[in-house]
Amino acid sequence: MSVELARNSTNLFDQLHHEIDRFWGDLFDYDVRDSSRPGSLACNVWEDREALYVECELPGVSKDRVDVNFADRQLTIRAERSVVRGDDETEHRVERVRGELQRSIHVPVDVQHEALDATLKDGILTVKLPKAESIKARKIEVK
Amino acid sequence: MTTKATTPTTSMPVKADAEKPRRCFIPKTDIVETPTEFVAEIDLPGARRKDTDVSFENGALRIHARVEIPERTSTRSLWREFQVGDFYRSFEVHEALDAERIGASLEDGVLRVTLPKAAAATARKILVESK
Repeated sequence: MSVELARNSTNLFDQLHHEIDRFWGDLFDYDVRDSSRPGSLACNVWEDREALYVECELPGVSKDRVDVNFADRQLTIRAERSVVRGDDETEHRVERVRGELQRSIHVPVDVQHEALDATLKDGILTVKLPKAESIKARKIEVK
Repeated sequence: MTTKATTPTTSMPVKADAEKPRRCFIPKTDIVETPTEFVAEIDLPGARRKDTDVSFENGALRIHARVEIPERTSTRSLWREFQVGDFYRSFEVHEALDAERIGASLEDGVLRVTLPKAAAATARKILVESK
């Protein structure tokens, strides 16, 4: 069972009709999932002439808890967000996803392996996969 | 802890000079209580400190973050599973707080708001003096 990571989308003006959240919400507001398997990560993929880009949201995940692997045309992103609570802490609302997250994406084009790049900033991971020279679009001059 | 129903308050402030409507999301939030304070941890991926506003007024905690959608010229989207946009959420807090000392920090896309309990609300042992 995959984790629903998509946020509620709300038109700005719909806010007028929404009741303010109570501070103490229902204790578990997120989809209960089978924690024995990693949850799924939502990804955006785009390209320009130079490279392919894969982006996903990993708020609260530090660099050392993210693993980006590329092998055999498969890009695999693994991340873990652990939330530790002290004995004197009581949880009143739990919505944020915690635990292991993973996603594998098949990359159908040739990329420059040695130039792969991944940056994590403000909770967003962006992986850049530069295209191999041979597959880049090029203009052929007609003589 | 009280849970009385509240009438909806007005939404986030809208600028007088009509701006193009921006996509807005409700951020996921965890709320934790310790003996001395409440802590709200809110996922705001892509938000920057300078574009994030936190306010507390009349018992309502409001969070508003503007997230700029990156300008990507000459790019082609191949696969889209999530949207980027602003964040807005408000919480009605019925607990007694020391409003002056409410603090907030933003790191790695997570906003952490600490709301210290009012001194009167924290249990105190009262010494019985003998005369």
